[in-house]
Amino acid sequence: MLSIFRLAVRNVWRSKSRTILVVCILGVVLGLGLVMQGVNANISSNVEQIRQSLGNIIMVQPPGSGSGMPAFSTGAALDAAIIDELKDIQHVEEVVGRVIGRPESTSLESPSFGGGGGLFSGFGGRPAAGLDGPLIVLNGIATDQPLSSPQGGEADIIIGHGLTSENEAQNVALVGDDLANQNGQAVGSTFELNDEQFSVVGIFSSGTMFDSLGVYLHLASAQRILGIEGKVSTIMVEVDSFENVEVTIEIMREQVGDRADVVSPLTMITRFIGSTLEGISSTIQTGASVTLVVAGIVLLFTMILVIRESTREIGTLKAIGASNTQVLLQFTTQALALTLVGILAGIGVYLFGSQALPVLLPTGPISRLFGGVEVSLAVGLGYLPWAVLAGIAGGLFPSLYASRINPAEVLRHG
Amino acid sequence: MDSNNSIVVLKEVTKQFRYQGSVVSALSGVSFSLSKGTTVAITGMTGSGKTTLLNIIGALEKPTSGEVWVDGVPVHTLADRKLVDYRRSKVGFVFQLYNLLPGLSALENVELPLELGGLGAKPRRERARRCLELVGFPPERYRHRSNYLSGGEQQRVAIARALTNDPPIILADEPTGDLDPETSQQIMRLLQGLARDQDKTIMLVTHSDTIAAWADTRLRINQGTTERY
Repeated sequence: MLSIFRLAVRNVWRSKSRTILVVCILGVVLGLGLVMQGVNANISSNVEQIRQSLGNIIMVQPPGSGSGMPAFSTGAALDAAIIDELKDIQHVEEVVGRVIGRPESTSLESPSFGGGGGLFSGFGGRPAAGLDGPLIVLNGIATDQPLSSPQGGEADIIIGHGLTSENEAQNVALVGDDLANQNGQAVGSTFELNDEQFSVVGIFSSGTMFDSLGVYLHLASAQRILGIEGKVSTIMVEVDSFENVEVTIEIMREQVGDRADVVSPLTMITRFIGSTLEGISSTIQTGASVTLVVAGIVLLFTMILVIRESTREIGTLKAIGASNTQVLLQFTTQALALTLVGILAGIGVYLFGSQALPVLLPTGPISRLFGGVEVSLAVGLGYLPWAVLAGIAGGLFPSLYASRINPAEVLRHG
Repeated sequence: MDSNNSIVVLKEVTKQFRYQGSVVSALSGVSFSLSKGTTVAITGMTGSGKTTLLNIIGALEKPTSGEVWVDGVPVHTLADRKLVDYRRSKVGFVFQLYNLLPGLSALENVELPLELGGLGAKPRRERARRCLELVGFPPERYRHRSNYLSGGEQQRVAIARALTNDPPIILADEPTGDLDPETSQQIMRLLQGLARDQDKTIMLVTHSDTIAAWADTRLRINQGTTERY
């Protein structure tokens, strides 16, 4: 069958200008489809990331705190025993209590924002202290917990080490890099909080102003400094999946009653963003499917043209002993060869598009959500086999027609 | 088949076409038999049914009625799949415009019928070379694409292609129709040599009395029937 295949491949190049035109059209169409798939994959990944990072966290706040943002909550602290009660609820993966507040006195100096306002008032259930005092956010976290701001931002230890079970019994602290710089603090330095001396075991950086002016202590130390032993400011509950958040909230509300507010402000936002993005994703997916149909139609018309020009050749092939199947195979191979060259061009367009699209779109969060084009094997494998099928389907019907051509008819009339 | 030494036997063969609702009769009761190793010229006016007769013997068309026996094979009864085998083994076609495949070299064109029949690469190439030698095609042009060959060279390649499966019958539809007189003479000498030396039966359609004069037997088609002259 070598010559049949070779003939098919050579026939692709017989009319060079037409082949180049068809390959260009296929390249643009299939490249566009691949870019759409890449954008789609990027959106799906973003949706999943949003859901993973935000959507399955439920906050338990002191009653009446309302906003759900623990750093700015008001009202009394929560009984830490609630943490153990929540751990037993179905779908709950992790329950972490934390303490947030401001010390009454410290040897550390912090920048002053001037008087007035109540932005930092009421941390830890204490009465508002105004903004005349030190603006130091004191975080109490459980041992071996990763550092995270109450708003969900992450922090990294850049010098020293974290709060571990080895130093749990000691008065140790992690200090934000801005606060450490302002006060000349380094690993091994000491400072005072409410007349207790603490050693610095690590310096962290979070990239946010509030956290960089913060201090992390072991949970028990923070509770003691703030005078709320056995209590926490907020409880963060992680649910096993986004889909189970609502049902878990209901169970948790029944469990805690009026002792706490159970809120998940990010769930609704996540759901809204997720459903919006999924709608967009579905539209893009439809667009990608349309590109396959267009590619198939391009192949269909090209092959009709090729076969109309090759009728005498088909007649000759049959006269010298080609079967219908062999003729079918030759023209299907020709369609496939065109498709494969078109796919190569399409991959070029895809790679170019993946670089060009983020540059062409205005920068910002919307661009980050929609403008990114994932370049991966998975994107190719999710689209290109369908492109091959579209090419074969487009070439199949003309090839079937070619295989049924009456050789005597075409040899007589051409 | 009743004739002992006949390679081709036609009995009351008719062929009718439907054209715009009416029936056109191309052949109406053609009967003849041909001996092995002879050269037969079929002449007649344009549209008299010469090519149709050739196509029926070559199994490119089916007769409306009658019997066609070639080398003991009842062609008129063959199913479509068997017709392909028949065309591969019993007949070789030579066309007026050569009909070589332009994407392939001279050698590849000659190999093609063998390849369609499933023969392996090495024996295929050897046999194709032998056939090209037989028709006197220059070896230095074996690798040349067929569309870069002269008319006479292309016709030699076409004859070599018709010979590759070693069929007992070569069907040539105006094989010299597109060639100058000198090249036509060369091609006719070649065909005559094949009939004489290779024991091939050559059936050729021609309008030229000069070409027909080369043949051992001449058949004229008139009013859908044949007569020897």
